[in-house]
Amino acid sequence: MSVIKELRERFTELMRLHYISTLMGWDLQVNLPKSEGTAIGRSEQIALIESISHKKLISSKTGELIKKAENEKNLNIIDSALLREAKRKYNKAIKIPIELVTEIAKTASLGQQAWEKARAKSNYNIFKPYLEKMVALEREYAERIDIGPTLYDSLIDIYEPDAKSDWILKLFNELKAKLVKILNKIEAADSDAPNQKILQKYYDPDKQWDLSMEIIKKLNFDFNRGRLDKSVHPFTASVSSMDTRITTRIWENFLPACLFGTIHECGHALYEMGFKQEIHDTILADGSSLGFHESQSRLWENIVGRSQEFWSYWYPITQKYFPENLKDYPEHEFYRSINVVQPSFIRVEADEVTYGLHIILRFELEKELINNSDSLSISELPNIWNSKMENLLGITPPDDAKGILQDVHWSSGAFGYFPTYTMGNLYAAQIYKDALMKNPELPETIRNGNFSNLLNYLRENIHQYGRIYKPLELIKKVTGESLNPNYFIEYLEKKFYPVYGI
Amino acid sequence: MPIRKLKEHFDEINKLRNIRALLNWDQQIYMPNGSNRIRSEQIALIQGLIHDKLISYKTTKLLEHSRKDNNLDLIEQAYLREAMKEYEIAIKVPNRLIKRMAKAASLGQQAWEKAKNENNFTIFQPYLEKIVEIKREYAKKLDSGSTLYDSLIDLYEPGISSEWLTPIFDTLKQNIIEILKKIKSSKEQADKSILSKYYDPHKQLKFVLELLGKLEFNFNIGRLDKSMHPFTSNISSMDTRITTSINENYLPAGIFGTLHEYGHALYDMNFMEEIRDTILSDGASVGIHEAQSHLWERIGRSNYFWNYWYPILQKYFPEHLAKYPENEFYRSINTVQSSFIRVDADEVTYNLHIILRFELEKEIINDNFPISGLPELWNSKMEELLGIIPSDDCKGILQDVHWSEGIFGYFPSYILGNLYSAQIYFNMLQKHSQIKDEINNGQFNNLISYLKENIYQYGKIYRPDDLIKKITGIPLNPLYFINYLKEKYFQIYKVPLKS
Repeated sequence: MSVIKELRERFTELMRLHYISTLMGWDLQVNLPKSEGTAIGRSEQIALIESISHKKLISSKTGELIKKAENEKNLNIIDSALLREAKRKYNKAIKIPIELVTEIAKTASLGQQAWEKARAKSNYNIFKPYLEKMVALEREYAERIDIGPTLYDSLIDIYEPDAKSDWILKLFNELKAKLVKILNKIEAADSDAPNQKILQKYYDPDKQWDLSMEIIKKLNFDFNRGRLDKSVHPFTASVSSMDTRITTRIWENFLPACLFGTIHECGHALYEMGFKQEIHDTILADGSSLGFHESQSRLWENIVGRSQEFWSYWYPITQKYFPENLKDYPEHEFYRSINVVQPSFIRVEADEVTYGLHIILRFELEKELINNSDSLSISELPNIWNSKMENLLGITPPDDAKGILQDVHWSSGAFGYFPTYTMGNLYAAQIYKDALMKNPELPETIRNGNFSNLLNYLRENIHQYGRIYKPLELIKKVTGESLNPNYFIEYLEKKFYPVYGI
Repeated sequence: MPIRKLKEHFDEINKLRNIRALLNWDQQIYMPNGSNRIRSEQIALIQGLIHDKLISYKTTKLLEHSRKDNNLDLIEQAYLREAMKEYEIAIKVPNRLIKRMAKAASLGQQAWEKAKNENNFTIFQPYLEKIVEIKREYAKKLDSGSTLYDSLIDLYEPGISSEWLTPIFDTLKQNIIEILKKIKSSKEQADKSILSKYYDPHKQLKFVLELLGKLEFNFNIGRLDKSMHPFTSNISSMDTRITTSINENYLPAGIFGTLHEYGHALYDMNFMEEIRDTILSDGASVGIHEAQSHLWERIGRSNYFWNYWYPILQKYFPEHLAKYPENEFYRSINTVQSSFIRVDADEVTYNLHIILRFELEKEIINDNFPISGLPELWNSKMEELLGIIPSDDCKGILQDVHWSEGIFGYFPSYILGNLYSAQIYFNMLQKHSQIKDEINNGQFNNLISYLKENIYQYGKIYRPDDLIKKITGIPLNPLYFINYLKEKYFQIYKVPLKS
């Protein structure tokens, strides 16, 4: 067997273990009986698979295979990507002692419990000691990974390879100024502003489910290799390269939750379902980066799912599902109601314009927390949060539950993750612009309920490659240009000014 | 302490088995079809991890040290015994043979399905020949009985040999054939057409859920789902899942299928704390496990059970049952009839179906009986035992999946389940005669407590032969089951007991 083949098989085994552990996680959220003991049993099973997997990854055999493979000449593009990703995983794993991994996992588990309690009571002090500990651990982790130049960069690299915080800062600063400008214009618009009242009526949950099913079928979600289920928080889980499962949640008094939640996850799933056969079951069967993955979900959810063309096809169908609310409600008003822009406290409920500002706030805070934790007092965080909110969105959270305590990320040690959400928006806008340039008929096809043309474009240019290309390479390969935030700004202006009569 | 370390080592193996069970469960309940091939690779990977752990140097060393420990308590001895057994099986059977078997079984199952669809045994024949050849080699490697077939039985029913089974099955055969003859000649034939009407599947499910609620099935540590074939999955000590298959045109399928799986699940949910999530958290044997499901199904087919439940069932399905008398319903679910298909057979004839398979398996494995002659042998045994000849192979030799999967030696456990459960049930009523009355009133607490206390809690601590002696004071005796059949069915068919 050739070295590269051996390497591929070794990592395929790791990928299979990863799929198995993902299935256990999926089952935990979708099916597991409710007793606490059941959940503990499941977490032990997951931990067992992870420890088996970790041992395989750091074994000397893996190291040898990588070393040998590096001497191979003339590797094709897939094999060299395979080697690159294998090395990346291996290097991260051997740099981090198992004690640190365990300590972070333990702190994350305790931290999440403390965070839940703190959020419920809106009392930051309950969470503070765990956050302090987690920041210290994550700093140690970053020091060991040592990709740099700063500690925070080493953490970002986990999620968005090669994205440096300096570069992100520059992008985000540009973005910030423009988002604030758009927001100001919208807030100053004097024509009748849209509102969400129509969305807050009672919508029968079974019918919401049926509508979501109908939509994702039409979006080419393949039920022969995927499922839709319900869970508390929507998510996507690939449990094999032929089995990608998404979940949704249904709120009977808020239509968008299920609708856009499902389309969002469907976007993630279409990416996973589109990997080329050759990379199935290998470590390349994943998104190019988290940001790229997010670009696919946001492209379908926002750029497509909240567009006029989309609703020109779907609104009459939706009206038939809910005649009691929508029969006499005009399509254009419905379109405006799902595109209301308004500064609000909670990130996950934010609109397309203000969302980016929520992320920029977190990015700025995280960077300080990880890089300059000596000068930044963790007790001061809620105040800093609130003043930044005031600064960016012009509103001040009434309490910490609506402020610094709203997100789960930091409690579980996920620092460096937030920027990828906004990167996703930027990638998506740039990609869609390119798609339109190459396929000017796209809006028309969407208007007619045909989503295959867009999907074909995405498959051909992005999905099939999985993780073969790194994100910054891929965006250039697809669009001929490096990531440029102006496409996103342009998209927002073109869309939201008319909504607000500007 | 080496025995502690041994236990921990095997706890991991047990966890991997639980994970494998989840992969299987998910495949049958949720997984989209497109992923079938990959799922079997995932399962094979877990299987491989289990095997590697079993035959590892660590296992060898831990076993060696634990065996030197003279102060093991009862449970520790059981850990050692079971660990030893698993280790020996893994060591004796080379990986190459396991892989060959897995491949032959996978091809065999496909061929079996095709043969069944086309009603043509010759499609399956070459695959079965291959499977038998590998299985015989497998049995030779195991070498744990006086015949090859015994080595296979031992996998499912430790300590039991075909030599020991043969006289028991012969007694059973004679008695059942006689019982069957008497029933057939009775003028009081039962009529089961009432069961084949349309019964709304949603209502069936609701009834079954009400039943499980009353039986204290703990939904906090268990689930009920629907599947093609009902089964029970043990995914952890706090996660036992059963499935049911509801047939809208045949009422008993859902009800008795659920009760059957409930019996399995109740066992799995009630191991004592100390042995949970260890290699002892399983039934004492396949037969003892089957005894638990049979016991509950048997209760479900009793008149005292329906005394309480029939009025409730009538309310679910007034369109058919409002005016249908309880006693007639009871007779309908206990109709005895020679039929071709094992899984549809009644309590009396079921055993003859198993004896047929036992006799055939013995010939196939021990005497290398030519596979091409099997359909004929099957049919002649059907005539001898049940007085009917299958019109085709689908109704004969092609009906069961077991052989196509390479499973030989498993069938006897079904009868052992009947025998164990009859003996246990008799013993329980002797000690707690009020239990029948309680069931009559929809009460199951004392029954469940008895089972927990005498059987469930012990899991695999005792071997099946020791367990039955511990509970009932005597070794397994088929007369309890024979007497049960006579008492129940002679009454239904109005056959004088002493005729």
